[in-house]
Amino acid sequence: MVAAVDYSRVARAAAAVQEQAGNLAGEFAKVRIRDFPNEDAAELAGVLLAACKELANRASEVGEAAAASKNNAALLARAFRLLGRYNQIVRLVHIYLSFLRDAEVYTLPSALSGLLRKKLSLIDPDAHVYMHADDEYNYYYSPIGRLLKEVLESGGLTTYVNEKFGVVAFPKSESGSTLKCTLLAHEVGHYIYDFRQLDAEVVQAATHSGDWQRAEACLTTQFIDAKGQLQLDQPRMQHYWSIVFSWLQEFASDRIAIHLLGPAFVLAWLDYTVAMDDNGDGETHPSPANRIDVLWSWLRADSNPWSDTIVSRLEPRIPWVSAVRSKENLMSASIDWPADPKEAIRGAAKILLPHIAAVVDGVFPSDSLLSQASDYSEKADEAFELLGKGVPPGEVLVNGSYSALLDSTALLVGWMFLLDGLDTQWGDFVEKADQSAKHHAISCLLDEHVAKAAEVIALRSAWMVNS
Amino acid sequence: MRKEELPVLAASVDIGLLADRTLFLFEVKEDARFEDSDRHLLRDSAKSLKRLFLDTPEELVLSGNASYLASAQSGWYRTLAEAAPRARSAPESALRDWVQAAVETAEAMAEGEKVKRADRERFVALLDALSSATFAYAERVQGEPRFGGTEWSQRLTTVG
Repeated sequence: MVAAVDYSRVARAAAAVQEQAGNLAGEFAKVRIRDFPNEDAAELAGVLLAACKELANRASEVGEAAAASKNNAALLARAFRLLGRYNQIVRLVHIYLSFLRDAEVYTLPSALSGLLRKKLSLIDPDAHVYMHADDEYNYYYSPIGRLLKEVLESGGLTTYVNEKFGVVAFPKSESGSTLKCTLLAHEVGHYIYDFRQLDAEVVQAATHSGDWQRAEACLTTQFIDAKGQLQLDQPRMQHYWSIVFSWLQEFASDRIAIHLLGPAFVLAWLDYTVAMDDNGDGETHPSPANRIDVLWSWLRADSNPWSDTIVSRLEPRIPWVSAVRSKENLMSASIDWPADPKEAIRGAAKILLPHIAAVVDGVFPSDSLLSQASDYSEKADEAFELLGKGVPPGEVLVNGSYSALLDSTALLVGWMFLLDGLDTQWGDFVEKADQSAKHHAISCLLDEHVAKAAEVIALRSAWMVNS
Repeated sequence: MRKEELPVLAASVDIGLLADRTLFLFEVKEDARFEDSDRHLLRDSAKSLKRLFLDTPEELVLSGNASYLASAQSGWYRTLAEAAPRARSAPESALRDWVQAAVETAEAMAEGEKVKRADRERFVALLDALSSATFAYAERVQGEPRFGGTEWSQRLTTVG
């Protein structure tokens, strides 16, 4: 039972929540559509504005009910708690204000945001994703539309919220870097995985093949005691499953990122984690090394169109990738009699991994990876050479004609230049850039080139579509 | 607050709000005066209790909510047990029975059926525990209000 409270405090709390919600509504009313790259943010701001007004009305109703029963201690206590809840919603909705403010067009890596948006619209024309520069140094995805919808509905508010609103965030300090923000492809992957409900497809496919049951058996081994008796601890088993599912979601989002931007995503991931100490597998994410191992194994697989490029071109140029790959990896986990819960979880994920790959591949056109890989193998040499001379990859002429690079090729060329700093072509590039330039300045220049390339590619493809 | 906590915070405010609105409804109105919107609220409460406490993980997976709800479910039981003194030492199976009974009571009330006083009290006790647990969680995650000065003066003292 909540503590007793007198009427005057309930009345003041109702007035305070009304003021808070009203002030917040005022902030959402200031959002201007022209500050954003598309209309999604303005639409969200409209929803939040309406929700704040409704919230103020609800607080007023509770205050009125309390005024009508000033001597009913139980009612006053409940009213006070409910107003505390509305105050919690105000604070929750306030977080959305920062999502909006840091999604304005000047904070975004514009070339990449346009590119990802275009690719996403091909998979889901009704997608409502916007990008947000976050104060935290992190890349993440949040299904903010669904969260808001659930909370507003439970508060009895009738404001319509499109649950397909999602936000993908990147560190504010990287907003100028198209190359670094390549990692956003993984976050867009989360959005696709979430709204296409790919986990349900994975469960279905794995159950049909018997792999679901094998994964369950792998986890169950952890509950067999010394006498060979099964001592199943259901909450612990659920906890193991939740880890497996979180990991599968990460691997699926990685695979989607490869479909969207090719191995440029993998190189961006290598670069992001190269200076991190690998702390092993976590409950929500497999270790960075394990992810690199899986990503690299996927790309090297004979059936993958990138296989030749990875083996013949990328691996020799970044030999340290083998050192980064995990020693205690998924692929080596025992699935028959895992040594401990960690290995059992790795084993269960290993069993289900092929289903993740198959389900994700089913979302994309069958030739999407094939065309990216062949574009790179045909045009990368010329692009490297011209990039060394300071020509943006988007201006590359192949066999004398304007056969524009694919955006994924431009990104991969850019990443290879960035990671392959000792290459002679890098030397050429440095010479063109500035003899005395430090690495940071060179990276910035390279980034400018790639961003320019992505913009030129987008413009050309729009021009070709429209002509 | 870390952004990763946003889904759990939202789920916490979500179920807590339903509990608090339902409890408020009981104080404002007699059962006989429930309107359609009130019955709707009871139905929502029952649905949320089922989703958070009784759905099996497979159902959560198939509903596309595996990522945070499945991991939250056993956590909800722990939170609930901590908030309800009489349930503190109860095994999870006893808590499940408690929630199951509460869901049935809410559904019956939503259909306009008369329920036993003891069942109604048990339902209120569950909502009460849920309200306290989720309210405290949301307050902790959203952080205590800070007004400038204190933290800095403490830091300066430490440095000095």
